[in-house]
Amino acid sequence: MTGDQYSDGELLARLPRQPELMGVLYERHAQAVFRYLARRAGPPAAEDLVSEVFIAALSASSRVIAHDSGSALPWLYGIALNVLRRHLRGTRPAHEAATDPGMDWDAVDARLDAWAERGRLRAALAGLSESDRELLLLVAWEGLTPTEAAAALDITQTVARSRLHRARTRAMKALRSQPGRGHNVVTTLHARRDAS
Amino acid sequence: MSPLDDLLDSAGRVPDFSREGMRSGLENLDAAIARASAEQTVARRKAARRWWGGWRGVTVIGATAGIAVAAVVAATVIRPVSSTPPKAAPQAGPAPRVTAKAKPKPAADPGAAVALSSMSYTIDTTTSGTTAATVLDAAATAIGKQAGTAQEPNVDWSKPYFHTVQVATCNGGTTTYNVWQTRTDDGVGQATGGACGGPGAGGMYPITAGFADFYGLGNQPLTQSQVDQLPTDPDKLWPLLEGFDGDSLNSDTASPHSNASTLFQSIWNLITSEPLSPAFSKALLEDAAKIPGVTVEGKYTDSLGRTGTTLHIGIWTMAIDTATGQILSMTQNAIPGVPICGGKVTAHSLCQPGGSSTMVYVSAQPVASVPKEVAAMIAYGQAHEPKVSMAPVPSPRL
Repeated sequence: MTGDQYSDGELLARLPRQPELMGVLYERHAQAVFRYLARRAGPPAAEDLVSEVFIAALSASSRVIAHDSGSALPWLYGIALNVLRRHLRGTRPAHEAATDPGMDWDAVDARLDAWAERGRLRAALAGLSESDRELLLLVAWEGLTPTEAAAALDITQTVARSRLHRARTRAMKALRSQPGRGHNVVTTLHARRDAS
Repeated sequence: MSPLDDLLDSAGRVPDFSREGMRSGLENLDAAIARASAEQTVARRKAARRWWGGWRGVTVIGATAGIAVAAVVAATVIRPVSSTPPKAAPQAGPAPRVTAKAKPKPAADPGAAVALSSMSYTIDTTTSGTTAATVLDAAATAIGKQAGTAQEPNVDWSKPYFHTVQVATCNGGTTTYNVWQTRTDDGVGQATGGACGGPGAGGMYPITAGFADFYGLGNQPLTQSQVDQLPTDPDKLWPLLEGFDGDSLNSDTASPHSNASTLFQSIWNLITSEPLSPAFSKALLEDAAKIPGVTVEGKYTDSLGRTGTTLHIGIWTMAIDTATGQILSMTQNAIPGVPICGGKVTAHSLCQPGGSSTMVYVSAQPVASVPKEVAAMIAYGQAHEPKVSMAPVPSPRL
């Protein structure tokens, strides 16, 4: 495909007039977008949703500029969150969707193989606002820098850094107040997974 | 690592995107890209705004996107306003719809309105024997005869308004668009006849600066002042035009959206959308003659009694009168196998069944004054329409 030679920033600049370049972004970032979706809605839903993200990006691509880091991913994650919310609104009972518009806990739970762990993760993240949690997870799960995560959530870097600090502090405090010896349990889980 | 990081690490482990998912996702995307391609060329350009007769679909995107892209589906702002704006500043919110009696009189004589609504044209493809370059050079020579001084600006705003009358034909009917604009790109569009769709039919709508409001040549957006800096010597202009596409004009000639066709169509758009000086229009047409892949299709005749020669490249068919240099029409042809707008018929004229649509350029001229209602609406729009902010346009190497 032509366009491979372009950076993300150059691709974004050209997209409004050359929509076919979205194919290059897909080749580059479909895996990362899949993982983003799979972490929040489970792999089966993510398989179907990846192309929706890029198609939505196509209609939103006029005059987007890449993050200073040069990556289109913060932008794509921002779109993925919207696609995810829409998907979860349509698939879950209204009350669940209303309380947690961007996360399917069942899908997250399925990856933690002990009931205790499920409760602990939920407890750790439950005290966070949706946007704080998303910020924390973009950094922890997607590996974005705080400034990239700020771009994905359309907030300033300064706000992102202070919210991230707040989110981590709150989550760790909530975790400490949970029953169970966290570190040991996790270590045990890791050992079990490695053995299986 | 902290317990929190450990826990997140466990919860964040997911499998890879499957090969099958990757492939079928790409198929879905390709279909969407094909649809977007069919619309994108016009959608970006100022002329597209006129095509819709002044009602506007504005996609508001923050510079850094993210949550701002919450409008996953483009937000369409359609705001009809009264043609008799109140003296006191009204509150924000939907303004009343234009009433029939408030419509300004078209600048043309009353009989012309009838002729425009039944606009038709034919293309006789049996004639040939000339090349596109010859046709364009002849048109350039004709328009060059109107050239004034060498010092005149490329974009001639010696009169305060620019008035265009265009008729879109599609789906067996027509929509007539009157657009009046100012140097600052504030303006008013009026659409009559609804064959090409749009809630604008019959109404007047303000157009304000900031909505994709730049000129473009090839893939290069240009501000008005940048257009003014372009050379009127076609030999100096040509390397710039070639460069604007980023890639060689010969790199993708098989594509219906080739670089060459994009450049050619953008020249057509620029000349028909803005008050360009004859000298600059001449240079653009002479350089258009150098664009590879343009073929002569036949002889154009329309119901206004005008004749011209049609040229074809990519999805575009254009008509020009070689005797005067006047551009007569532009047709966007449906691409076989590509459903227009996903098979859905929408208000967008390009989404009409059949997909092909033609804009006939009736007139385009600088004018010293506009009808009172139009002036009032321009003022209303300047005062009350939201200004859509734009990311900076990348500067070309001029």
